[in-house]
Amino acid sequence: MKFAVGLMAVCVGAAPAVYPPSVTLFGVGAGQTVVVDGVGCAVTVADGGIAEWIGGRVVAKAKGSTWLTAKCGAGLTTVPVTVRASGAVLKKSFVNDVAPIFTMGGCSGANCHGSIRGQRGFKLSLFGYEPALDFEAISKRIDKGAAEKSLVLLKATAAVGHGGGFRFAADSLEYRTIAEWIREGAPYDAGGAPRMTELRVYPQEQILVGKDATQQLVAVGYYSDGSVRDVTQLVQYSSNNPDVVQVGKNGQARALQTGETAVMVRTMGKAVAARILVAGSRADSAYVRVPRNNFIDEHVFAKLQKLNIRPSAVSGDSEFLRRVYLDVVGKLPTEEEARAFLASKEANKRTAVVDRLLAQPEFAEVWALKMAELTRAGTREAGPKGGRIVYEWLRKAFAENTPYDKLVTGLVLSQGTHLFGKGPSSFYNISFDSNAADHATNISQIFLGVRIECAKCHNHPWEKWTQDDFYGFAAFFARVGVKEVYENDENATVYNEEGVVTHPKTKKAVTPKYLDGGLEPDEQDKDIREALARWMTRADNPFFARAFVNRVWKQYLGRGLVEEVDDFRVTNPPTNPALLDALAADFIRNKFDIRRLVRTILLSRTYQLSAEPNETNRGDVLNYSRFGMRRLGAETLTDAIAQVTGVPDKFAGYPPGTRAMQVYAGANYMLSTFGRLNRDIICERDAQPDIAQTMHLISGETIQKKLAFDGNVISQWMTGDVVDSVFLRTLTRFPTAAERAALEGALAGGERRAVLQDALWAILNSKEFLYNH
Amino acid sequence: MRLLLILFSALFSAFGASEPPPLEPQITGVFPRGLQRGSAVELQVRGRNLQGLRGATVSGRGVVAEVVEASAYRAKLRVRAEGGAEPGRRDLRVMAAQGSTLTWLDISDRAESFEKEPNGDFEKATRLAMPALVNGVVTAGDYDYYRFSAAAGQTLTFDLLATRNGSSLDGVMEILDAEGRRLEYSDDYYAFKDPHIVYKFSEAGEYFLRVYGSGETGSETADYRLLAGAMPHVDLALPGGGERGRTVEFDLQGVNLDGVAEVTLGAGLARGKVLSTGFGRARISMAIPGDTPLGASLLHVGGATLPVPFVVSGMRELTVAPGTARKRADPVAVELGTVVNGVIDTDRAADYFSIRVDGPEDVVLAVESMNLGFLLDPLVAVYDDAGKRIAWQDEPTTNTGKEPANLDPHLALRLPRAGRYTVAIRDSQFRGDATFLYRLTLKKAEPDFAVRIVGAHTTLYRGRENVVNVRVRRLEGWNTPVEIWAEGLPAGVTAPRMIAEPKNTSYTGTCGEIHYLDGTNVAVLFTVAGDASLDLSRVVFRARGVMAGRTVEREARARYWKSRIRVAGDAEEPALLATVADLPGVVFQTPERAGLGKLTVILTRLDDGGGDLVIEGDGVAPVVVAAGVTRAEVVFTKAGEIVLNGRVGDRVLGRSAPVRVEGKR
Repeated sequence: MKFAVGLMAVCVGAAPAVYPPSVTLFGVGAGQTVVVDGVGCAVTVADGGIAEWIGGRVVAKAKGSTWLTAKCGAGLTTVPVTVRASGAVLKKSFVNDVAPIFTMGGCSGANCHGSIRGQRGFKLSLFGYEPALDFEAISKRIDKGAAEKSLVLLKATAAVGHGGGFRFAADSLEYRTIAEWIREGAPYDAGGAPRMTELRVYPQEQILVGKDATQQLVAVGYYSDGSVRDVTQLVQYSSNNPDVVQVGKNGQARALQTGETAVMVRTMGKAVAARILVAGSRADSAYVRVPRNNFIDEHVFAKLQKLNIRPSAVSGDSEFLRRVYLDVVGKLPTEEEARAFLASKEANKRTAVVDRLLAQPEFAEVWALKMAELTRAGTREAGPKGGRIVYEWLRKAFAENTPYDKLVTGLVLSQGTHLFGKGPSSFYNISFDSNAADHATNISQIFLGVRIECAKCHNHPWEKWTQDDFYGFAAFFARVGVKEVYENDENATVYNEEGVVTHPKTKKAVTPKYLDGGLEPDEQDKDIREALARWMTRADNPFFARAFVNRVWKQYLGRGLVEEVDDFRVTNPPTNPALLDALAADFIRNKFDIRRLVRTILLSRTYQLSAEPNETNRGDVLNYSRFGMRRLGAETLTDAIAQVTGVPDKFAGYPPGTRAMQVYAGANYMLSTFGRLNRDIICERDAQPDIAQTMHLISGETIQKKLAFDGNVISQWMTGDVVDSVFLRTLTRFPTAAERAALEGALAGGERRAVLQDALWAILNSKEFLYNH
Repeated sequence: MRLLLILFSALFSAFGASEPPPLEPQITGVFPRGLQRGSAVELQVRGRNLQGLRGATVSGRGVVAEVVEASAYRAKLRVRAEGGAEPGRRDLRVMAAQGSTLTWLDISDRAESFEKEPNGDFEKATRLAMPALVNGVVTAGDYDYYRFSAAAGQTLTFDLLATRNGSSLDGVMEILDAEGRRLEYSDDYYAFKDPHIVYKFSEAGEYFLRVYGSGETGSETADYRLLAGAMPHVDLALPGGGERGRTVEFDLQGVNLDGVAEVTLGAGLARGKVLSTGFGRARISMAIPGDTPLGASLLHVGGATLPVPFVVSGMRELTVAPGTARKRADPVAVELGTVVNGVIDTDRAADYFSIRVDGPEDVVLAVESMNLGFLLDPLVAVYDDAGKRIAWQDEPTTNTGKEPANLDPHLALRLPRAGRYTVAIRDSQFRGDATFLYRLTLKKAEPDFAVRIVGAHTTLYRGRENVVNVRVRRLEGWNTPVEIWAEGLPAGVTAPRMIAEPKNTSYTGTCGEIHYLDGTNVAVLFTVAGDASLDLSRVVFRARGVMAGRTVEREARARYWKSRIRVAGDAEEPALLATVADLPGVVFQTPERAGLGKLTVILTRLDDGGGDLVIEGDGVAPVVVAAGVTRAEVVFTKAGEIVLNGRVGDRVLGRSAPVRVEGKR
């Protein structure tokens, strides 16, 4: 018997966790793997006539009900066990027994026979989503007269040459299953054969303590006829982060280093995940409770305590002020603002500055630009004017704190001439041939955080989305079209009077269908997008609020609770589900008030933690135990350099005085180099520094020209003691004694302008300036 | 236009002759673009082939023009507008031996001024003495700053007339406060890219207006006329028309209408009586004489920025206030033979009307909105008594950009049985705005057709065949052939009678898709005798058709389409101006300016093509070009204005426009 070494059961007297929480067996001989989370446990079945405990499994002996008891020290847990009749002796099912072997063995993976062309003429559907097609392909490679001579078995056992190498042995369960199926005539399942409707994995979340701690996962399949099967040995396991947790083909997970990851479990078109956290040590009684500012801190610090990680101290005033300015308005505080804030003794001065910044127009500009980028406003098709019409609408919406549900509704329902009008009419105008499928892909990804694009061509490999789901959702946009209006090549997005989406397989018109929801018939004289917008923005929509609060969280904390932020799926669970739920619930409760959501985040202790690590959180990058340093974004950095030097940029096509944050479309070299997207596709910016950025800052014209410009800030510093000013203007702090001495010394001995140029150059190239921390 | 070029190309190639490059005058810029009535101004005209201009005319009454001087790329015209001239846009034509062309000129009723450079930043801003009409030009990267004062609570209007007058400027306006913060922005307000701002100032103070080209575009011919001030600005009149022979009451809607005192239709067709005024609305009563011509005219409001359209009809008129016809279940009952005036003022709104017929009936639902200058994109639909939609139309045909767009539906249909039908009208893009006025005509169908000449002018070359396209647009269910013929042809020019079959002309799009024109295109072939008289003639096209025993005869109107800025309209002069000219033996395509040294010249031989062509000129090394060669490299050896001569033997076939050669060797 093998037990997981888990954190939860080590408490003396605690009841052990047992997975699955109940056992249902169909037919005598049926078995279910059961995992008891504890040490030195004794497991018994109350009525040995009904079921018995053999090698970590409960095996059915007769119809009836009993229970399994796991006793670990003083802790005791019981689990009900039910044995039901199985009916006739079942033959091997291709769909339920044979096809999953090809998924589990990796044969139907994207880089093997599941690839678009297959391998060596043997083509399987990706991850076994199309068993009927797989049956056809496999049937050509079997020998009904002599199962052991079947090519599928010879290849899999490497008895003959196989590009994929050895997959399983001749005495393995997989081999026996396939061979038995062939001997039974290799039939395809009759029409009424049960199909898996749900896959569950246990435990869904587990904390492992220390390297090499293990956890056996249990997979249970639920079928259309109501039966339940242990599929622990029939599923494919893969760790999202194999550096943290490795998982074997039998479902045993092993901790390699502290961190956390999801283990993806899939078979027969179903995919689920178990979240495995690896802690370095157990939480101890000396763990000091950290003060909380609001509910965010409750959830963040609760998880940190579970992992025995102490959060960093709260940031200093300089650190906080610079951080919150850069994050909220994309600017540095002025020297005067910095001096006033640092000198202030007001207890609530942080709250006051947050409130003041949130009311500034620059807050709206930051978010308008972000959303314009997400929605790909101003693509080559739309041009700068099309970009502007969306950007300006967004900017106004954020400035007026339009509730997020209203904002998204406005975008989803948008239409009209692309170059003028009151609405974001160019929203759908992203390419000359964009169609319903594109709109479905974009809208689900941007506003629901769900990437369904894979399901356009095949059922989604890591999620539940099928082609029916994809085209059902696309059908909401079937009547969104473009027509030419007026004489100057102006186009308009229109909601056509007619239009359908055709399913590529059935060739039939598809009825609009909500993701994970019901059908919504399209009706004449109605814009079905109105119904879609209502569904999206409903309080109980499982995607909408979560997707946005996750984006906002990432904007200010540097990493989404779900990462990537637009890739919500069961196989990519949030790092702190409770926090995500709480943020979403708070957002919904407050009527999708964006500014309030941002304020809540900014006022949390979590946001205000120092970036300085302590010994417990140095390796933590997932749990917000310290502020995550990050390079300034392209626009923020460009504007900060202009602000520090007092030399504004001039962007081609934009009037004088335009800041980088206001450049709604297009980019210069500086902006492109530092990550501004060209908006050809929806994607997040790459925040990683690279050599081109470094070289540009060291010797490129962005800094050099500004430092050399006669009328720059240095001209105001030609007399007097300016050392404090230099540091406050750039780093929002006073210089250290060493810094002061160094700069004063240089000024005393050198040509003043040149010294100040050098000092500014050095600061502008420092990590302290280039990063928000 | 591209379609026309294709048709032209096909026809010329069929006749085996080289297609001559454009030799008629072309205008790319006019500055100033207009003048105050009761004044005179000297217009600077820029373009090509302007040498030898022999006349200029301005459409309508009270404005005369004369050519002061002309060279290949520039001309100077003197224009004088009488005090009684009707304000608004006019057609300005210039005529030369090789043809004529048309552009626009704006007659104003206020004093005009001119932008003065340098005015490219806040410090150099020009003070606006409002109300103002400033003529300016925006070159690439150019910013024009204007400074003005505004009182607290004052509403000012800023309107930039550019593309609406034929300018190439895609203008932008911004209002900035004294600290340079942007208060308002406008890029494309009108369909044709011009900006417009109405702004209410909450605080008294100094402000700036910044004018520039979208994306910092501009050129020397990107002119504008800036209207600015607290003057009345009228968005529309509701109803947007009235039945002649009756007195109509209408509301002017806009801003600063408190002081409206004078309202005139057209050039004195009718005068309004002001019943009441307010800031945003003025109530007017106007008796429309029974002999007033049918169709759209301009309604001039004294002191207002711009006139608004007003249609004189011969039918009963009904006005529905915005929001009063919005219930599909309770539509407003309308008798056939009515023009309904309404406004789709809110997003996703539709107006509903019911009509009743006693038996099967052919009816027509025709909307005027976009063609009156409003931004509504109307869509009409008809529902039977059971609520089933039986017909709808967005546009008469798909707009593709190859043709002037028409967004106004013209839906002719048969109502299948006696009963009540519901008609809906809405914006096809589901938009709404207080300025989205429509005039929906519901009437029994009286099949008819309209005829347009595609182009307002043509040059007919002696000894050749020339094509003029005429478009027949069938209306209200017309479905029989229409005969077309030309009258007023110059001596020595003949053109056959043609038949327009009742089938819309089709063409293939770039992706192989089939599109249809809104009507039938008829290519009328003009045969010009070698000795035809070198005259300018006004050619009138007439058309006749018979349907159900009823004969209909119509005269064609010339319609132009400025392909460069893609704006279209009916020329005020309905006839086609046809110039009979001789083709030179060779045509050179040269730039206005060049540097010393080599220049590639494109040449088109229009003679028999025999013999080597010698290109020579003062300051040009002679070049011999073999027959059939269409490019030649010439070398300019000295600076100055140089003309290339092309000769075969001793015979001079043609001359180029002068090339200004600059620079040092």
